[in-house]
Amino acid sequence: MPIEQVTIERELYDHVHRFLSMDFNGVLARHTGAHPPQVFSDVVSKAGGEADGSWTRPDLAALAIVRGEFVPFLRADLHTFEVKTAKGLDVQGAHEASAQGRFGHYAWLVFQAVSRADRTTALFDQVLRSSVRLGVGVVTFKEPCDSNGWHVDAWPRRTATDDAVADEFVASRFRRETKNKIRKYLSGLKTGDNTDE
Amino acid sequence: MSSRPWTGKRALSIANLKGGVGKSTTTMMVADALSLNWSVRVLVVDLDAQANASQMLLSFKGLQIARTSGVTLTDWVDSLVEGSDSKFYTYVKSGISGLTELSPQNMSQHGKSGSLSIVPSTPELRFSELAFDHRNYSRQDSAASTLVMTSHLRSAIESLAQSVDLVIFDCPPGFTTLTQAALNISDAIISPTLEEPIGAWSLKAFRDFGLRDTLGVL
Repeated sequence: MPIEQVTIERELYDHVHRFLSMDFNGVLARHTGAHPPQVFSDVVSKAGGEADGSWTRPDLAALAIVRGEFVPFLRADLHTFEVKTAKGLDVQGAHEASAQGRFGHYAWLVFQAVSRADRTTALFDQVLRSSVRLGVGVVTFKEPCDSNGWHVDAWPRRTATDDAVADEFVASRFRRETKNKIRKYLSGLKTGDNTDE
Repeated sequence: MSSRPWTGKRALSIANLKGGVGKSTTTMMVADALSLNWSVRVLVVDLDAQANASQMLLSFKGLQIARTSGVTLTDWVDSLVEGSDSKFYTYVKSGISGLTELSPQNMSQHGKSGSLSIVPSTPELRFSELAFDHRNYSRQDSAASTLVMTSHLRSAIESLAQSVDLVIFDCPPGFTTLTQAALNISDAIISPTLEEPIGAWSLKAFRDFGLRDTLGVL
């Protein structure tokens, strides 16, 4: 069956959100070799923040929380995602994702790698090179519905974003339901419900 | 690991009116076997408020984390009662197989591999289901609540069509609204039975009263 090229960026958000909900914790676990973190994600393109300026608005974001079992630590990393269609992709997308990274700890560019953005093209190479240089992670896919086809092409570098800035981002951009899930999870950590004891 | 393509059913219910016949154990064994040996991406949906399958697959600790994170079927049903537009996939716990070969740390990001995910249950599911029934009750149509739930569950499963090869519903004993909805949208049903007279009677009641008279699927 031929792969459908999605031409409207917003139509990709649901697919990316599903990837973040169902697969992203496994992707992070594979990379770190540690237990999968607890991931809370949302579409944040229209929520809160400054009134205009696409460079201030990641399309999606995911908060990954991991807690040490024997070496005590609690780490929360905020990942921001800029989504592009194959048609809308250019090198500027990497810069856009990088600029949005000031809100979180890791910045990602996600795009459908078909047609002019296929991985055999010069555009793909240019975008990948720019992303790596800027410390932006790259996730690509051909068929958005096929979760087996999503692929991490580059890993992002951790930014020096202050945790308070990331916290404010979650507070102002995530949906109420998602924030309630995070609150419940964190309060479970405090009361010991989420521990072995 | 095998990479034979899965061409089987899309939705499977493990159901029986009687308790203690091995429904949750069957669910777990079928899910493990298909994900490991047939590279099937399996999603278990635990419809039973006893949450036995959830505890077996997630462990007590894992279920506690799912519960405190609001990632359970109970939370999904609550969201339906509240009229929220939360996506079903945000209630899925993925990469939960206890098999070393299928743990996220050991899986390649290339190529097709089996996987095991769950939408876990909690004891509070019974109250959430009651609230849902109360909200959708109609004096004129006693099946109204089941029909609405069937529609929600069908949409939820369809939204995962390309991410999951097989959905297994682990049904509770009896004939709850969620069970009826699952049976309505299932392609096949496995009904574990004890080899004893009461087991045969309960299987017959499940077929005649449940599937034929109530749901009309036979």
